[in-house]
Amino acid sequence: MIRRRLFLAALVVGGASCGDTSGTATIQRSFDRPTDLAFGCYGRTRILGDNGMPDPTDEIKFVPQPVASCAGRSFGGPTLTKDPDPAYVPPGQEGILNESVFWYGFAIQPTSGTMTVVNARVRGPADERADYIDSDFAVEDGDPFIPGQNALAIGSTPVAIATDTAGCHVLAANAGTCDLSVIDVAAIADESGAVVDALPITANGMPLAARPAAMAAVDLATPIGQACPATPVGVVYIAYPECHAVAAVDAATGEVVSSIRFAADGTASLGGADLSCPRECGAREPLTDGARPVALDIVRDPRIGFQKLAIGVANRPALAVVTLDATGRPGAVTTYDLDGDVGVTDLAISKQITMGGITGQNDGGKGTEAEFVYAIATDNSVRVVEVLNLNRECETQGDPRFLVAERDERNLICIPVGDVATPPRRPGATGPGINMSSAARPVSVVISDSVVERATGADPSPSLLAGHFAAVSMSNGFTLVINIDDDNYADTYSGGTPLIGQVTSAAPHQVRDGIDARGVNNVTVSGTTSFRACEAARPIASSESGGFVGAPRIDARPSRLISAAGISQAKTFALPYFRQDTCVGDDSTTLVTDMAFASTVDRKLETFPDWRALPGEEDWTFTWQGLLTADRLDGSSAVDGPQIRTGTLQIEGGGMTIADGSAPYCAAGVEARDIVTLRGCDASRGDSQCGVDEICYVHPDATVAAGACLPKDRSDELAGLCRDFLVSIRRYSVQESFAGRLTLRERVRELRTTPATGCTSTEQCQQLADYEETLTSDEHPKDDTSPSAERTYACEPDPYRPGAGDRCVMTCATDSDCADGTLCRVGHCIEGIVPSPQCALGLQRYDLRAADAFVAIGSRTGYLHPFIADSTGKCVRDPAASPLMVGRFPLTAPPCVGDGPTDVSPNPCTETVEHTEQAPDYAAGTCDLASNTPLLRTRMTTAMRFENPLMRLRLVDLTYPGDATCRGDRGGTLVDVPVTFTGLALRFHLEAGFSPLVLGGTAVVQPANLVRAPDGGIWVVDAGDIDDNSASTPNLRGQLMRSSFDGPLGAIQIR
Amino acid sequence: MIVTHATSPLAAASRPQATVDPRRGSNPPAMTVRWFAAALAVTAACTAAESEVRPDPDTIFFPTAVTVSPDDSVAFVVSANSDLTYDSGTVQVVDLTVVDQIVAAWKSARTVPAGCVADPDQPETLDCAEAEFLIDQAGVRIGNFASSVAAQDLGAGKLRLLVPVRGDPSVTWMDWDPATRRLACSSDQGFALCDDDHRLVNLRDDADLPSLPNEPYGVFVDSSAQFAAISHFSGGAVSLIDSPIAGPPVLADAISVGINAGMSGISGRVAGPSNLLYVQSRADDRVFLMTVARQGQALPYLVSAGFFFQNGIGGGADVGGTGADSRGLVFRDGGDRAFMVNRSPPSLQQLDTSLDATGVPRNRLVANTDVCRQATAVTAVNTGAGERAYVTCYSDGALYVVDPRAGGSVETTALAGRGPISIAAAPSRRLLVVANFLDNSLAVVDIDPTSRFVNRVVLRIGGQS
Repeated sequence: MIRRRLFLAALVVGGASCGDTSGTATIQRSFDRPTDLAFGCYGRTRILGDNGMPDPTDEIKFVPQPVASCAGRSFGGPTLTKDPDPAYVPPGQEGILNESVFWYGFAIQPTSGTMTVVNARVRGPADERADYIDSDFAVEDGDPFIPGQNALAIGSTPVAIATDTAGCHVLAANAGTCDLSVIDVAAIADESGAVVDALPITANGMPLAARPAAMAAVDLATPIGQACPATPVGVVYIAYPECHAVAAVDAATGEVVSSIRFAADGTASLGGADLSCPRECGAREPLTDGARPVALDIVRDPRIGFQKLAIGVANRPALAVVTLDATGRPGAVTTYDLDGDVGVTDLAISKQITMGGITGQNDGGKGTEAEFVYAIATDNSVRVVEVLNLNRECETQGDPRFLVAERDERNLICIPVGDVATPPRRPGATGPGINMSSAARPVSVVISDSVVERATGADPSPSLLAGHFAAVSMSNGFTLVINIDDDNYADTYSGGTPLIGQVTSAAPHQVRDGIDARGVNNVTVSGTTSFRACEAARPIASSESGGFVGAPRIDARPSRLISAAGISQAKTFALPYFRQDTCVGDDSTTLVTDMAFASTVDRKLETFPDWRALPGEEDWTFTWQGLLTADRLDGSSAVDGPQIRTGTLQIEGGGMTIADGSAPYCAAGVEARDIVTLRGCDASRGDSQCGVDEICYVHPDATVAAGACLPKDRSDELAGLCRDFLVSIRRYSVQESFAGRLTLRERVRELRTTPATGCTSTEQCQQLADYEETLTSDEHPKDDTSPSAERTYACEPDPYRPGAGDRCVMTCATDSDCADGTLCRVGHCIEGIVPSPQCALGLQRYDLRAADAFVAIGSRTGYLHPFIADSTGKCVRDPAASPLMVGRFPLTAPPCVGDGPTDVSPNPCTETVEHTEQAPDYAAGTCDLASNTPLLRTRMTTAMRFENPLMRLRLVDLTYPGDATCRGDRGGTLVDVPVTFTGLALRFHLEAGFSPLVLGGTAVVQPANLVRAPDGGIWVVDAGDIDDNSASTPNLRGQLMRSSFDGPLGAIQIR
Repeated sequence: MIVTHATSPLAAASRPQATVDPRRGSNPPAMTVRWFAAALAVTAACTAAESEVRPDPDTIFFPTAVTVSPDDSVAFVVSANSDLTYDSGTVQVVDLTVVDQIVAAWKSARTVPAGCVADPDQPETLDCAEAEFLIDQAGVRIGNFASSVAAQDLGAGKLRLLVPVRGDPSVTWMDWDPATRRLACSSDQGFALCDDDHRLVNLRDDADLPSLPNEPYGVFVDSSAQFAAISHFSGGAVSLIDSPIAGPPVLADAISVGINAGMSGISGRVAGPSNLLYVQSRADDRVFLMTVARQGQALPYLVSAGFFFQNGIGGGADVGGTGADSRGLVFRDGGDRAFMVNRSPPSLQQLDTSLDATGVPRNRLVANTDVCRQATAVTAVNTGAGERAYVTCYSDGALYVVDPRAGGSVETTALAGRGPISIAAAPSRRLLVVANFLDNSLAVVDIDPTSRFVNRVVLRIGGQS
């Protein structure tokens, strides 16, 4: 071993054993983008004599101690307990107060080859303040021989760090020199000049020279109160990806004492000390393909008395668990296969857990024993494997609709992947792993436990964690919490407290919900009296706290976007709306939709069956013949693609195709018979929407048509040739959709009041055309003098429109017989012609709309659909798609089958429901209002039941029978006649959806690692760098952030 | 070392130069004002003769871009003349066979050829003058402040280089013939100035149509589909060049993506008619997508295909999920993966750009790595020991080597030189060429995984005092 004092530390970087001159010159700062962290314990210690007992002659010194010493002081006992002993000190250390004992943190920084040291005095239950605050932590000067506050230069590209069993040394695994740096903790803490020793790794006496990727130290029980040994103690495990092995290394000598080898398929086996690896430092040797272990975690379980090592393989769907013996050497090795073509980049292994329990930490109590490995997989999910009894990967994405009836918690501990009895996955889930539902990727995971119980009789809360949990750092800087076994919640759906006991909140392996008081409803109980508020849009506490509490709901009654050209404001009652109940409250009696806060618990549960699928907030819009995108025109969102696309038209053989090289159409969910509208250009914006050398030309004959981009030097010529194209509204039907092109057909103008089930005769069509004329009139039917329809219609089949039956199509002899913007062709009015190719040169702006259907779009969820591209590029329904992946519904649908949560097919479907609405209170025999207060009218009616992954909704009055005498009397005899019109939209804002609990409540920049501290703290090691020089954002070169499951969830940030 | 010559700006304005545009005149970018100031400070009292301000064909000066021929035989180096010492910038040709030979001899036997010295500070590095490596009479002169270069494969080893030049602004093009080992962009011979026919200034070569947007910056060439696309460092514009193998290139189209921020890195997912262009921004956190459409024999169009946000990496505090000031991207695995380098926060992101079941790219973050501040460029190479991404770091003078596997990690860093700004790989030679803007040099990096010098600068060309 080569020993050198730190003031020569620059040589450590520059003078590595390979003659390495890697890296930039060491620029020493407090932090320089740290990537890993280890902990030490240092302070006053009674050095016990040979008898191991305290003795008046024992010397008390400031020395390093095993981390168990500090952890015990922090816990108030040797382990985490819900009943800590405030007076606890480690045996033999009586009289030595916490204030003279310090935690040390050692953060490595690979690119500069340095280590930054932080410390804080230990805080325990006896302290006035057991929780840490920012100022508790100090950043140490790693090198007092250099002016300023410096990091300590320790080696070339250190990639992992660990503390030895005695706590007297920390070891850094160096990828640049393929060795270990051994750092003396005492020398750092007493500022006597840190000592860094280079310790080569050897196997059979030969240098290993392999690049490490990860390291973990075993945690052997070490007596507290011993003098520090000269060399590190214990065993460290080092992952060597290119060697396809993990080595067990004697920390004192650097000698490999055992190994775990990985076969090409990822299967692990116990190997000996005779490890041989390709040389990766100094003179290099060729590497071989094979399984690459890159992630390690060791757990010590004092309750059961075992210590296990988990190993993740980066390029194989496998992980291994190794049982360690009392000396920390490997024993039994078990390989676990993962589903799909994935690898593992980080993992964590839990203690043995007693599953179940609702009254606080339950380990050792009644329940099934289990143990889990959580693994960050390359599919950006977190995979879960049970490694105690079931020994298999667990399905975490079971659709709660199918789990709500499961009341045996044992069946939810680890649902088998792919079993015939395994429920379907949540729609959109692509694998069994925990879906983090983010554009970010999971980076690192740790597992820890907590004992914060809820008060007796109190509801559980997201911030009260009792049980076992995982923390997952995401690349966007947030750290999320996953429930493994929450001992404050039941582990199955709880019918008794249904809003609290949602599957999302209850079942193991679910991302933890961050919204409190989910069970709050609109009934306030005070003593023996209660108050039911029907007007309340949300819990009172919501507005007080500024954040959401309570169950998902809409924030106000759904609104309708109505065009006066479509229907008179006096007749909007005829339009579709959401099903409503009467809410009889102490404040008022009013109507509530199923999505409202004031609806019943059963309605809420049926409406929102999987809260995990709900964004925290979202706008939902149901638009008749709406756009197939949720993107905003201003470019501030990117969910489905732009509202107005551009493409090229290909016109040949009487047919027309629009093409887009980005192949967006299957992704957009375009179906046959959908509507493509060529948007042309807006002349008020000059020629800005046209291409080079084009002008925005508006034909003088155009009445409603937009402009069109024409070649500047040919506009006069083309004005004649293209006249019909230019004066039409240029709306076409999709005949076939392919990923990169849509074949288009001319679209015939139809009567919007064509019966949804088809017309029966031309006479009927003409009557319905007359009825359509009355829709924009304010008059009661008895007074209505609206003229008869100006246009003529015939009842004919239309192959280019969706729906069954014949359609009322507009007929003509000349263009003048047709509506504005439509043209007469072969006796029918059409909305756009197939023009001469010369009329549509250059790029065409267009939009995509669903035909004869409501489009349901969420501002974040976007437009859901089941379409994929087949091998020819044709858009086809994905046979594996969930029936819930729908984003549209027409006016007719098959009858529903069942009304349970699992009855999701057919979807959409129709059913008969009870619906309450406001109706005018006419005086008998007149159309005069007897009262300005409308009546509440309840009736049975047909509803369209529409369900997507987020919610089940019912819309009523998709058709209207017409009125007999007065507006809204519903006395008409029309059957299946819609009064909807293009652009009609129903809207609501959803709030209090799923909002994951963020550990620490804030984000870092670019987390590199999560580290579980011996005192239960969870540390985010942030390698992120901010250099934006703005006043609002501090410049950082990385930071450490501490939070914990059992303390305040706010974060300590050390920068 | 920065080479400075006593030069009169008045003389510079009156002498023939490649940057002259009949209507616009020379248009140095704002960032170059300091160079004018520097030039003023050293202004001599007399007017320099043309021969005195003509660039030295054996000198690399303020190199801003480098690219390597597909057969790894030569590297093309663009010098920007950023201090206006000379009357023009240059494109010079480095013989990579010579580089390879000298590097091999140096690595195996520490052979120091004439014109070279062993670097006293970096023992694995050989410092050499440019002349030995620059092919004689192969280069051409172009306008000032050229920013990047890309090569179009014309077949049979012939190449067409397209060089965005910010000073004109123009896109200057020239053809490389391996038989003559010369670049050609003029009827003149011998380090000739590219003529007007080789400078794309106006859309469709029509003086009545708009000119090329300001600040042409990045260039991507699709040899298969025979087009090039240019990003513009101000104003949110992207330009399209139709570049048929059998004919001269034409500036065909230009579009704005609707933001005021400048565009930076540009690349295409898969060469060919279905290519999907990805265009980054220097200030916006979006990556813009576009395709190239052709209708019959007409000139092609750029077609916007939307955008996606770079919201997979953090921005600190409560921001979460913002990545901006992007400075380069490169596709791998037949377009199924992309590396993108950002300055805010400094990061290298790896995206899964494979097509999903609907036929559109997933654009999903699969790895991210903290890298240096002020990154300038990225490339990726399979070195034989797996793929590595290489990021040049302007302020640190460093080259970051990133192992993209297992979530990504910095494997090592190397000192590349002062102001590394562009990088290109010669995979068959297991070499990288890095252009160092501030010390007028090229750094040649050994990427042979079996070499003891792996990821180290083994040869520095130029930059000698």
